[in-house]
Amino acid sequence: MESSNALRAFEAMLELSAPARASEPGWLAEARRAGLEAFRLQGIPTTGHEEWRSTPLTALAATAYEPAPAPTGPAPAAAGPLGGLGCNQIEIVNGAPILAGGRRQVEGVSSFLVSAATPQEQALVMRRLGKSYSLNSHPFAALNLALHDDALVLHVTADSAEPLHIRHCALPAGRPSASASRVLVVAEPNARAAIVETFEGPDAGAYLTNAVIEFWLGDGAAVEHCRIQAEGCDATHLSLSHATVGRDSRFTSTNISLGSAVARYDGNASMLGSGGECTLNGVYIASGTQLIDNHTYIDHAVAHCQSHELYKGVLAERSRGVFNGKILVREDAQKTDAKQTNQVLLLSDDAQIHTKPQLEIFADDVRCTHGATIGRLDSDALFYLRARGIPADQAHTMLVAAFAGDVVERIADETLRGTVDTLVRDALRTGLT
Amino acid sequence: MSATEETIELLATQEYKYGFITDIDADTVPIGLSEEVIRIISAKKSEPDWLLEFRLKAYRKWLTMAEPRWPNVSYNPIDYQAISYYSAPKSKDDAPKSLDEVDPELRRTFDRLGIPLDEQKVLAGVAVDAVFDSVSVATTYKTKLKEMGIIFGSFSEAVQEHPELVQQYLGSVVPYSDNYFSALNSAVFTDGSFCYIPKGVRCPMELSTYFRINAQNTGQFERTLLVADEGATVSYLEGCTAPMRDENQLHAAVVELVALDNATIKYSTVQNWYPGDKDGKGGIYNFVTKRGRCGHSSKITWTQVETGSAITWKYPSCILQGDDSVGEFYSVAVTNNRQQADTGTKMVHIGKNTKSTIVSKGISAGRGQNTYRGLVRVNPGATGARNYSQCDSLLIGDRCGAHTFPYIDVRTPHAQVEHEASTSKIGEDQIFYCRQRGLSTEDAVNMIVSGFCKEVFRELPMEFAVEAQKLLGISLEGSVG
Repeated sequence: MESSNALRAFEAMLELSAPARASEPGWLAEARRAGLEAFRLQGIPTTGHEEWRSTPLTALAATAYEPAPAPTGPAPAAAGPLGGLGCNQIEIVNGAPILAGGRRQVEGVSSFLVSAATPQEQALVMRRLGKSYSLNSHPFAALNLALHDDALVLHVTADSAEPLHIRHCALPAGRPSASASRVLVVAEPNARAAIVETFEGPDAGAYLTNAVIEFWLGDGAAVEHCRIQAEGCDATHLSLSHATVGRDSRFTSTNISLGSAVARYDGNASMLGSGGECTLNGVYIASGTQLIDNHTYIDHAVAHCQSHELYKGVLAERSRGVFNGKILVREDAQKTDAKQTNQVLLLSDDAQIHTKPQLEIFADDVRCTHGATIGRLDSDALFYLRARGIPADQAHTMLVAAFAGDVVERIADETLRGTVDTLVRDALRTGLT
Repeated sequence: MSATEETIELLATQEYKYGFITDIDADTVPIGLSEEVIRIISAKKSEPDWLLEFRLKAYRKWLTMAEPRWPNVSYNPIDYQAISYYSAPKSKDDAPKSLDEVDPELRRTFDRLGIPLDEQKVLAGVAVDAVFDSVSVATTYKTKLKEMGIIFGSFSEAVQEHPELVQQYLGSVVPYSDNYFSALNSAVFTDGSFCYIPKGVRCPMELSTYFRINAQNTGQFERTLLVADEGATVSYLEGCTAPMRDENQLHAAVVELVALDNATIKYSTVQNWYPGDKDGKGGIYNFVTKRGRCGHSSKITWTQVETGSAITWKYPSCILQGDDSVGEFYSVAVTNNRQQADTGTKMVHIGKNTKSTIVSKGISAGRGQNTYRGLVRVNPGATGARNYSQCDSLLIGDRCGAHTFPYIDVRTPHAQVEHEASTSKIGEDQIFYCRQRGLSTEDAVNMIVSGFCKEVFRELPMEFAVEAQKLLGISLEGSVG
């Protein structure tokens, strides 16, 4: 493995954090070691790697990141539409979760930090932390396991009334800094929760966010997840979310990707109990020279599960989009119903999209479809609006907003839907003009 | 469904119908690959220096390359030093001058395969350039075509008679350095077909080649070069059956199509090589590079029916270089028992207003693994480009697999690209419905499968459509339920 600035920086961070980790329980040290080993084996992927073929990480590899400084207090309040999500919020500042006393109890959900976990809670965590996805095929999620500060655990025991908001916030730093945050959500059988994640950071200065969230859904549980990636414009955002879906449980995730210079998101789900249902939706809007890469992977391991995917991208200026949607239907996963749609609007001559909807099917009694379309705005629709006296640019914005709105309107929570709608419209306005 | 299962059982045990080995002496070069072997092959064929140089450059490049691991297939490593790279059927005379002079043993083989070389050639109306192992032994209709200025014959002949054409176009679409197997082919190809259609000429008949692999342990490295000059039109058929044997055979062919401005090439393939027995023993490894280059307003259509081979690795592609050019790809790929296929196409849109259509039908049965892998790439200058892709998979049995890996790279907003894929199975209710109306399970399945493949079959020339239907039946009947 070739050594690069970033690799050396990551190794230095590990060394720096070693003394603080010395008091951690054995199982956690073991998990960190496994993560490190897997990362060292893979290194920073190049475009020669199939999963990264359209996402060059040369800038990342060349940067000597420093560990993001530990937060001294809560982050400044969010500006703009994100500020309206304030209720029931836990902040993760520079990768470190801020939770007074290490725990908080709200109706149906007990939140705690792994460092403050009781032995029973540790037992809950140790079976799950870093266990839902393959460390050997996700180098940065492996690195995250080795490097993460303190994991935040949300234990959903009953129906939670309000959405929980996890606010990831990177503070401005003079130099390129890197942080790794980790969240684990365990939903007990028949419990329900809605979780919103937002990612923010300064607009000036490069920084790296490496975020992992794992969901474990017990039988009959329902979790609605929405993530809004609105990082600063020089940021590199690498994140993974993995849901392990149990029998008759339902997982819904909406990924709104707007910020960062380079953003890579892996949205994965394993269907491990029959009757499970999973929805992975997403909107990505890129302009300038942004690169937004969304990979989804749904593993249908058992029979009688459903999955739905709807991803929409709007690419302007010199931006690039990558979508790779993989659906695996294993030998015994009969009666699987999987549907995937990927649509992309290219708004400029220099925008590019690399899309690869991928089906791997090993069972015969299944219904699997995928569709991908790439193109411009429908000129007939534009004409229709203009014929009714709507100016061209306004008609244009209306149509693009409607295109993206198809995903936004599927968000169940009304307040959240409103916020996302405003964000998307703002992004379209700035991206299009 | 017990009656169905019985039928399945009965048909599943059915062996490959075209399996037999013709016993004739072969003039074979010792096994193994080295510069020496390449020089021997080149000398045996009294090739000009530039061709030898081409082969050696390819060989040197090949040595630096690694066998691709990305295809979704698995097989035991190939020992390239255990293959004999040259085998020509031995004849007392140097070359047969008419059909009567052709080795009777050889002709019987052709007859058993139903190749219209004898009196059938008149009935079938097909000019045949039959390739038996690596050297063309008989060519028909040549004079007739010659009158129109069409050159159609074996590659070796073309090298001797029209070296300037061969030199101009050889490697112009598939460079020797393109991939591992094209480099290997470029180094050791023994023969193949060459075709040139002059300006403005519409070839009056379907041109056809029957490939056949014979002598044991002989890799077959065919080279096909087809040039349609400006405004020319040609339809080319390629079909193959191979004798049954236990050892895996490597086949690494290269097909290059050049469609100059306003030309039309239709290239149809029926591939029915020995797929191995039902436990996956034996069978042909078919690693083929096929590519066409389109000039202005030209059109290349690839139609393929892939029922044979243990492993198929093949992506007939179109480089849509000229403005307003059209590329089409229609494919039916069947994998049964332990067959594996990783096949698809590449459509590279470079010129303005270029159009491409991809229709791929994959059928998996038994433990077969069928992969569609395609690339649609629209370059920045390809304004007005249009692509429509459809890949459907049909699964028969619960131990087979169907996979799709469509890569779509679009670099201009002035293009419209659509991709659709679906996976389905033959439902019990569908079969029940047909049986209720008095059809046997077999017929019902054949009907459903034919319907599934109809879009592709109707692109095939008449003669081939019949053969393709028959082949599909033979390949599939055995495993349906």
